[in-house]
Amino acid sequence: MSNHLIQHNLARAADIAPQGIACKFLDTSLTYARFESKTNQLARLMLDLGVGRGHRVGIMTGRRLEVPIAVYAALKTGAAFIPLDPDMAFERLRELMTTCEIDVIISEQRMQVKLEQLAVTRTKPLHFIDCSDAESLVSAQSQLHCVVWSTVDQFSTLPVPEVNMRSSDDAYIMFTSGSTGVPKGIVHTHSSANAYARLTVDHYAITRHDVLGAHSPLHFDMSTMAFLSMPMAAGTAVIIPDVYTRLPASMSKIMQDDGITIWYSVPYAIIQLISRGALEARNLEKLRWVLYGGEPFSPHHIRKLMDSLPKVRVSNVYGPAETNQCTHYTVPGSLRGDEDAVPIGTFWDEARALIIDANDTPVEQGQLGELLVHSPAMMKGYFRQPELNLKCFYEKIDHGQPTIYYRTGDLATLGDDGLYYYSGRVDQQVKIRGNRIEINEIENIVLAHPGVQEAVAYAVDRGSENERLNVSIILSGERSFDEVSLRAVLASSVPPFAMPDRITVRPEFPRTTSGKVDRRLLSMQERIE
Amino acid sequence: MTYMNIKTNVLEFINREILNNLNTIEENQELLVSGILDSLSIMRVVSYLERETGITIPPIDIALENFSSVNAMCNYLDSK
Repeated sequence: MSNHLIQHNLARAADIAPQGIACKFLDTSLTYARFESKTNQLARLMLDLGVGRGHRVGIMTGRRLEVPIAVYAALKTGAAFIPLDPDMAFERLRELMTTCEIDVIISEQRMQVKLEQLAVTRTKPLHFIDCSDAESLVSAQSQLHCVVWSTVDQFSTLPVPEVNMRSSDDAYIMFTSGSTGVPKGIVHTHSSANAYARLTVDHYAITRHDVLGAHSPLHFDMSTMAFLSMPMAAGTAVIIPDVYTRLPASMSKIMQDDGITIWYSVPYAIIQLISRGALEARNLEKLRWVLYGGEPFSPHHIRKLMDSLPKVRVSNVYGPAETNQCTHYTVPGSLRGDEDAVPIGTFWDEARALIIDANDTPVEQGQLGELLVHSPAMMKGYFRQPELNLKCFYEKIDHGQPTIYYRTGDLATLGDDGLYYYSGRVDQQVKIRGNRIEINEIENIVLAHPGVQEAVAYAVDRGSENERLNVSIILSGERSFDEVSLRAVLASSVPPFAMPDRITVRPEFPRTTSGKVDRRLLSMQERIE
Repeated sequence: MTYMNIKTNVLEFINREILNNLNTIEENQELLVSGILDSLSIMRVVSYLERETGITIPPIDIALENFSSVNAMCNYLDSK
């Protein structure tokens, strides 16, 4: 049984390509040799702070070079890392820190106030390692112990003594929206992470000469290609600074100047590049593959992408965060742009798929049903959610062996062409600019507000740059409605991308014959008004 | 022709239309790295400047050095 750990990939890269660039951020590069020694130093600092096997370390920063350093340092101590969105609402952050028992967090000086507020609520000290290069940090809050980044250099660069750990140990936990309002922590192990890395390195033929445009922030599971696949291949990950994700022409300049060969992002970022990124003014001859994932990309826009970058392969990456990428599909040059959808394609050889009906019975070929996936890259389960874990997995006996499948909640069909097609959700989950939102969660919060009788949340302008969430409500009685206080409640409970753009009051909603709200008609009506 | 005279108008536009007067920014204040202007806001400011000045701002010019502050925007417009 292999005991292949993620950090072994880094050690190997440092061995075979010590001067190869591991990661780059604006003008600063880190070679694999330097990356290896820096992570050793930071790991030793963490060990000094009491981090060890089975622990969890928080990483809460914007996009920067220190992110992959923090990732590999945590792994080397035997701990798992928890990516935390810096824009996360305070209550949600406090809950996650408590649930995950995080005592050490790598963060930035600009988050200090938030960290002090967190520290007040704790009985044990919170160790805050600041990676934003503050010269000194003082906290008025005695429970917050601040460590400046330069402290890392006081530690030895020698490899950390091997921790007695297994590839089945937790490596990282990605939290995502839950329908009851409780975030779900998707636990990936060294084993599932390495399986993902191997499958992608192999399929996309990633080599040490590849340079990835790493658009995704760490807390988004699309970051896995940057922190897992690239080190396995000893290739380079170019970290796109936060500000450039808002300036597509600057983003395309980085693609040119850093010789990016593979681009991987949500469709939203690609649409920005096509419409405002001045691609025609850039020399992108090194770019060989554009991968998109996180949500469907309209064939219309894919056609525009292929027209502006004719020499580049464009591929669909499908897979819930729970399973990592599980299918692959390269869009043929013959795509017209008026098709309904692009297939999610073919499952990895090592993966298995089932399409089942509401009774867990496999459907007939070509019929719609829920997609269930087994993959070596799939999660171990949700973090400390035994009831959810009973419901979200399905066990099937294949050739006398039990195989665990994950219930994706996605609807799919298997086409006559042998390709799989995605066809929406079983439930009310939507994505806004690639971020998962459980509609129920937003609606429940609005419903709890005084005077609100019914609430419907829906996405508008799907697939465009302006994709956003709106809410319509019916008030009980004649009460007027305090939008400011409702927005304040929402702001403290939901992520920024889930904040509704417009909240409209209606006397009634359009309904289906069974009395349920006709959501599609409602969102269409709201758009016209 | 100098565009420094529209500086007040630009400040007012951003403060009123984009920040909804919940925050007010000054002419020197950094707007991009700080995240004060997000993706959509940047586009709205560009549209506003184009309307105010009649200048067409090509996408390739929408970069950090030209839009990081209201001063930078006016310097950029002067250079066009």
